[in-house]
Amino acid sequence: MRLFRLVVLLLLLVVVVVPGIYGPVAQWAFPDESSHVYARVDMATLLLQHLVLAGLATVAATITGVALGVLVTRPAGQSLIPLVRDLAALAQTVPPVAVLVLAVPVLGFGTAPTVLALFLFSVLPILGNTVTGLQQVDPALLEASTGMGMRDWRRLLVTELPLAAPVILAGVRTAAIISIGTATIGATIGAGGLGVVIIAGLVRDNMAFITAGALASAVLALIVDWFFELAAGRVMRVQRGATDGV
Amino acid sequence: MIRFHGVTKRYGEKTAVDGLDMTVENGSVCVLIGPSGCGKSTTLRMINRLLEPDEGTIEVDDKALRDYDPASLRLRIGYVIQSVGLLPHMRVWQNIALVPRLLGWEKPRRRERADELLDIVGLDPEEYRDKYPAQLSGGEAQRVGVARALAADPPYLLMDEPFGAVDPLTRATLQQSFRDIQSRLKKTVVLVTHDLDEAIYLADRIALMRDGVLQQFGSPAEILTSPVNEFVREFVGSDRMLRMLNTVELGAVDGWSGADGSRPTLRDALSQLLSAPERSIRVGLNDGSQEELDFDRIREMVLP
Repeated sequence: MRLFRLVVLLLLLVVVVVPGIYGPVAQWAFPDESSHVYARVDMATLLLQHLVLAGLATVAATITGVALGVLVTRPAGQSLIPLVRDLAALAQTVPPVAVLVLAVPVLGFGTAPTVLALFLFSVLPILGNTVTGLQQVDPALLEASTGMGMRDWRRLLVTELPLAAPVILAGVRTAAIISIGTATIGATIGAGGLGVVIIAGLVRDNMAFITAGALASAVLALIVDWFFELAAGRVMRVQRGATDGV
Repeated sequence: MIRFHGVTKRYGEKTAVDGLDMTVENGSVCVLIGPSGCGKSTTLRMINRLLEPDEGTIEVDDKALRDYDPASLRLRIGYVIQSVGLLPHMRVWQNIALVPRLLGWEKPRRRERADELLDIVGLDPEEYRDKYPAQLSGGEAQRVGVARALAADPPYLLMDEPFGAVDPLTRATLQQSFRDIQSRLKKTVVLVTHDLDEAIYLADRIALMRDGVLQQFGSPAEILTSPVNEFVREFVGSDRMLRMLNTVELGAVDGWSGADGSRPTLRDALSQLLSAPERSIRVGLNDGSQEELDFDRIREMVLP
């Protein structure tokens, strides 16, 4: 059933991306539009750009967020935790579009400011979840690990990070999905990606274009989410004892 | 050998351990016991440097603890805690093989060692090695916890209420297994409990503490028969001689049957004797010989 969902999503993506298929479909769906396939850049390229934008931002945000999360949960960084929590909460209330708009005057146009804006927005949920995940590890397990002779770094790798993994992964998942959605707006500042088709559609009042861009990014987000669900299931299975209090 | 010299530990205003002097001999089981907050757990946790004393020194193998690197010290001291602390994301064998892994053993050797230890603690390796901690009962988890502490064959073993979180029947079985294992392995053990019967049953020496001060340090028989002060007398209770009966284990008692794998003690023998029509009953001793047991003989066996 889960695999079936992926197959359907991939088929949808193929329909939107391959001009030979999308052309006739769009013609049937939007008979009044003059053109149906965006011709200036092909959809596959835009899709790839989109994935790179969101991917770069998410990977950078994951590395930064997890590293910062680990630092503030060490004994020396404990005092920073309230600040980090407040920042994380604050960032969740600001719409990503606003972050993007604010980034332009500072960073100009293009790919870099888009990635940076996406990164800034993504890093805080990951950081917040990393802190939460690490803090909710049972103190008895930490004591057992230290008492067994693990050094701090080893305890982090063997005990803390694996046990915090589901929560951290949930943060990365949120960040990745939001990034894919938000990356469409990157087109307004010249970053490329699927937003290009949407903007073109808005400018020319062409529903076929708008639908292609919106559908492609939505399906992309769902596909990425599908992989995260798979990963989460795997992590949870490894963790099946974690909730048992043993 | 573990030696305490004038060890004091304070938490703010409160003195948790006050000028403790004590020596735990190699190969012996020392049980720390006393009311809540008497400093027994604090004492235990200073031995593997999870806590540092404010005054005094602790020596392990004639070397002061502060001269050891804490992590390497802990690799030589097995540690069992009440909540067991098995890592839930690792299989049983991986949990047991954690310290060998820290010591850099190769994987095949770690697996082999985990199987050996499952055998030692009385769990079938075939059945248990690939389970996750959540799939174990409380008693099984405790056994795995002990196996993990023993994995790298450390000369020392610290146990913080290791049998506290299981039902009484399981606890009795675990205590008996532990005694069997200890008689074979001869580790130097420091065990914390609040259960006097457990202390009497397991200890070579009992350290009875109150408010951070060691009240009496001696064999179970000494503590029970010659308490040094009113507190010790009250702590061991007026039924202390009955508790002594538990310290003597027998091979068999006529008419007695207990839980699987458990062995009778002199207390069970007395109980049988009281309900027997004759003035004596037959019991088997641990060495396999047989003996007629009457009330006088019981008195002799309790007070050696």
